[in-house]
Order: sequence, then C-alpha cells, then structure tokens
Amino acid sequence: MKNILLLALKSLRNRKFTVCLTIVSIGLSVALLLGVERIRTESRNSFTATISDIDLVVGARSGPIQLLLYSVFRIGHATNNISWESYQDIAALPSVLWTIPISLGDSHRGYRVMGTSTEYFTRFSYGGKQKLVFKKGAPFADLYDAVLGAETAQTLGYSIGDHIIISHGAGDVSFIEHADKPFVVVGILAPTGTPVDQTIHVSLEGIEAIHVGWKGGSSVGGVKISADQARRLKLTPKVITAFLLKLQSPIATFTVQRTINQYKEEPLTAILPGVALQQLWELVGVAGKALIVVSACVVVVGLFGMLTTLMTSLNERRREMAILRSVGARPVHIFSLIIGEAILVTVFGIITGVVLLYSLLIIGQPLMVARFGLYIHIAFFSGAELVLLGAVLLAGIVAGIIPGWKIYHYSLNDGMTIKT
Amino acid sequence: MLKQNSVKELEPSCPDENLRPVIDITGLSFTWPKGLDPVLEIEQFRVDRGELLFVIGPSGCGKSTLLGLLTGILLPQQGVVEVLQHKISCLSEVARDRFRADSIGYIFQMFNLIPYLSVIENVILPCQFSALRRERVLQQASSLKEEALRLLGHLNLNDSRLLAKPVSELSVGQQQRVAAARALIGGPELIIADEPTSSLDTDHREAFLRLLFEECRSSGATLVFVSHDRSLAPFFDRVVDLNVINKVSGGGVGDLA
Repeated sequence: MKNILLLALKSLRNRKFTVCLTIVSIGLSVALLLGVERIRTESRNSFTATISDIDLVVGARSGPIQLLLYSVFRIGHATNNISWESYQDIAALPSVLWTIPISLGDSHRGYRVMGTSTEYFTRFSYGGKQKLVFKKGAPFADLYDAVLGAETAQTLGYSIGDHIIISHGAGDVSFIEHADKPFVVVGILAPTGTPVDQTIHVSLEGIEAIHVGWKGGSSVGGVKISADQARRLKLTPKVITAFLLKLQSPIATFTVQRTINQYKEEPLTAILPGVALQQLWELVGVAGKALIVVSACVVVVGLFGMLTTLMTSLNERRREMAILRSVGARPVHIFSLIIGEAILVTVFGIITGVVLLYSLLIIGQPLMVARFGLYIHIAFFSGAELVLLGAVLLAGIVAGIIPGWKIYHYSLNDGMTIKT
Repeated sequence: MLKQNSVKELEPSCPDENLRPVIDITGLSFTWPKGLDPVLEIEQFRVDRGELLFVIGPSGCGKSTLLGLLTGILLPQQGVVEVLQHKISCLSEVARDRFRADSIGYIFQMFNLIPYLSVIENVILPCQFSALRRERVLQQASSLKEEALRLLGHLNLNDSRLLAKPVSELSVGQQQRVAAARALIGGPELIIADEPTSSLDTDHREAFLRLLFEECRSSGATLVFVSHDRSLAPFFDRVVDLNVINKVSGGGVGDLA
C-alpha cells in the first residue's frame, strides 16, 4: 500500500494546480470549522466564568436566571431591593467570609452605573482566578470618584480626570440627570471580556449621595442639596440591589443558600452562579451551535469540490488504469489509488487548515484580548476538535469511495483494453 | 500486495519445463457475457518457449479477446487456456492478477506510459506489483534503477537529458521503447505486444523490432506479437493467422483489412 500511496502522491503532483486549489478550499473550510469551535469553546469558558470564586449571589426574591441577568450581566431590572439591614444580617453569618454589595439603577449614556465597595476591586474575580486589573488609575477613594470598565472608557472616549454625569434610571436615553453631582474618572480597568467592561463603578455612598432628597425615582421638589452639602450627610445606603457572597468553606453553600431563601425578614433568593450561568449558556449557546453547523456545511462544500475534481479526471484516467492493470495492479489497487488521492488531498487540506488556524490565532490573539477581552488559548487540539478533524478525514474518505468505486468497476470491465 | 509466496507458486512443477509450451489452448470457446454467439473458438493453439510468434489478425477478429484470455482478464466458457503451466480458469482473480504481474510483460499500441511518472519510474513499475520480478532484478543488479538504465541503454535510450524529460515529451518511438523496457524488466517469461509498432514509421518499426527481439532472446522470453500489418511477418520465427485458427470468422469486419 505504501507504493500505491506514493503513486497517488505523484499523480496529485502532476495535477498541481487543481489539486492545490482543492487543498486550499478544504484548508479554509477546516480553519473556519476549527476557528468557530475554538471561539465557541473559549466564549463558553469565558461566559461560564463571568464571575468566579463566588459561592452565592443574593438578591430579592426572583428566578435564578433573572437574578443572574441583572446582578452579573446588568441586563433587565431587579424586581425589588434588599434592605441594608438584611444585608448586614446575612453578611454577619459566621460561615460568611466576605461579601460585595451591588447597587444598580442608574446609568451613564447607556452604560450601567454600579455602586459597590472598594473590596470589589480586590475580591472580584472572573475567568478562573483572574482579578481585576487597572489599566490606568486606581480604585475610587472620594465620594464622587468613578472607575470605568474598559469598553465604557474606550467607546465613550474617557480618560482619567474626565467628568461624567450620571442619569437616573437604566435607559439608554434618560432625561433625569444627577447633573448637580458630577463624578470624576479616577480609574480605568483592563478588558475582561465580562460585563465589567461595560460598567461604571462608583461607591455605594456615591449612589446614596446623588439620591439624597429623591424619593421614588424623582427629586422631591424644592429641596436642593449640593454636592458639598451631601458630603456632610450620613450616607449609609438604605437599600442595595444584590450582593455577592463568599463562604469560609464551600461545603456550607447549600446550608447558607437555604438560610437565605428562608430568611424571615425579607423574601430573598440566593443562587449558585456557576449553575445559573450554565443554564443561561444553554440558551445563549444555540448561536454557537448554529455556527458550527454552518461551518460543517462549508467543509462539506470543500469536499464536494474534491469529489468533482476526482470525478472529472476519471474518464481521462481510464487509460492510466489499463496500464496499471497490465503491469499487475489489481482492481483493489486502482481503488486504493483513488481513495489514496482523496485521503492525501483531505490530509493536506487539514494540515493547511490547522496551519492557517494557528497563524490566525497567533496574529489574532492580542487583538481579541484588546477588543473583546476574549483570551483564546493557543493550545493543542481539544478532544472535540480532534473529533471534528476525524470527521473531516472520514468525510474525505467517504467522498473518495465514490470515484474509487466507479474506477474499480471501470477497471474490472475494461480490463486492459484502453477505452478512451 | 507483494506476497513472497508468489515465487513458489509460479515455479513449474514439471522437470522438463523447457519442452512444455508457454501457451497451450485447447477446445476454447469464448462468448461475451451479453453476446449470443461465441466470438472466439480455437481448437488448438500452442506457443513454445523462446518462440517469437507473430499473430496476424485485422481488428475485430477477436484479437483483444485472445489477449484478454492470455492475460487472465477474461475467462473462457469452454476449453482450457494454459499459460506457463497455469490453467487460467483454475486461478482465483487475485492469483490471476499476481500471475500477470509476475510472468507477463505487456506493450500497448501507444500511450503506454503513466504520465506522472518519470521514465525510470515507468520502467520499474512492474517491480512495484511483482515481488518475483523485483527479486530477479536485484539478483543481477544492485538496484532497480540500475537495471532500468541497463535495459534503456540496450534500447538506445541512455541520454541522461532524455531520461530527465517528462514522458509526455518523448517521441512515440521513444515511448514505445520505454514501454518495451518496462515489459522486459524482471525477466517475465512471456511478452505480449499489442500492435506496438502501428504508430511508428517503417524505419523505426524495424529498429524497434530488432531491439525487442534481441532483448527477448537474451532473456529467453517468449514473444507474442499481435498486429494487422502483414509486412512485419518476415521478421518472425512463426506466423499464425488468427482468422485461420479462430473458427468464428463470420465477423465480416476482419475481411476488410
């Protein structure tokens, strides 16, 4: 069989141009397939690791997905708030290691403003054990300091020292502005590929300060408290939207979850973020699956190209087959020759695709991190990718069987008579 | 594909092998699978070892059928075709292919060469399919290439520039000589040539024949040369008219030649 494969190789070399085109088209489709698969895997990993190192997310009574959506992804609104007292109560439970409060409800030019504590910048982690990194500046220290996520800063073109005015409510366009209390940008975070990038972080006290004298979503008429006057007030928040909770030991997770869910003072929900993220991905991941199906179709198209090249060459190669038969080749050798060509073309196509993919990854990796905060590992193939490659090879062999079978019958019938 | 046992299998059992005919056909009748009447019926046809035989026959007289039967591509419905002491009908399909690879060198009318192989690669091609022929070559020469060059040299093809050319750029005469070298390599007992000179002009025709005869004699091979061209007959030891030995001569087409 080694001889036959060598023969196949020489035959392909003789038809360099068309064969190269076929190989390139298969290579491109393979690169597309692997690329989509890799981006899909990485985005799932990055998605399911949007927050990590957190045991529970706690909010007002609602469904887990909804709680996850507004607390982690800043999508939608909280059904209700948590009173500061309940938060203090739960935070003081002996099994709790630390908590990060989150207060949402305001926005700036479409980007959500989140009130939190400075602990957020040291404790919060995503994508495994990655901590937040400051690209510029530092965490907020003053009442009217703000820290921007990477995308917010880039899209809105803010840099350290710029003033921003926070709008009341979470809409894209808001007519009610906290114009009297502008915030100063003191820090910009590095991209994370998580909703952190689209967030403006301020202190809980800052959120409280801009709402002094407000009631039920609008300012109470007549009463005006200036930014400096607000500094002198007691700015302990009365309510927060949600909080992230880390336990001394994850073993206590379910016990604490039950305690919170059955909390007497206030109806609350505690969820395990990992589980909820996984559920949410089931919904979001459909797009990725669709992409994989489309790229698989592209591979099939590429292989059809190869099939066409092989089939069109068959008739003119019947003479060659008769010569091979005359020197002792058996019909099965002739079959192997054609299959061998299909396998070689597919293998070269796969190699081209893999080389292309890795070149693109090496070039594209820094770009993907900078633009989307999506870190794509340049690693060896995952099991799923190897399965995909195996499937491509198998499809190539199947595509080769068709002309192989045809030529097998030609050579059985023609024998050594030359039919051209 | 290169089975060692093929060597043993083809060793003639009979001690006085030189006396036994290379081809021995008796009571043959062949009908195409879809045909009603037989196209070839031969009562007796023998070719002795070392003979240079000219089989004359116009196209349509069952020439390619006869060659198909001799090479084991076709099987007769009746009678016995014995080639080199092998009853072709008794061999399995695989054995027939192996037998052909080991014992028969074949030259086509034209376009004998695989276009994507070099001259040398074309010559040594049978050794890729026959372990026996490969072994025979390596008993005499240090490499397949050396033997190919020796044969090509005998056929006046030893210009290294010529050998480096793609086979499609060789002249028809040169191509036929390469084909002859391929048929001869590894010393097959039987050389079958199917109108190998019909695409050559008269001068080249004679030169080609002389070279082919020389090589067949020196290797002791038997040559069965099929052609419709009567002018070649005088060069051969023996001439057989296929129209005479084939009792089915109602084809009509044959009479035109």
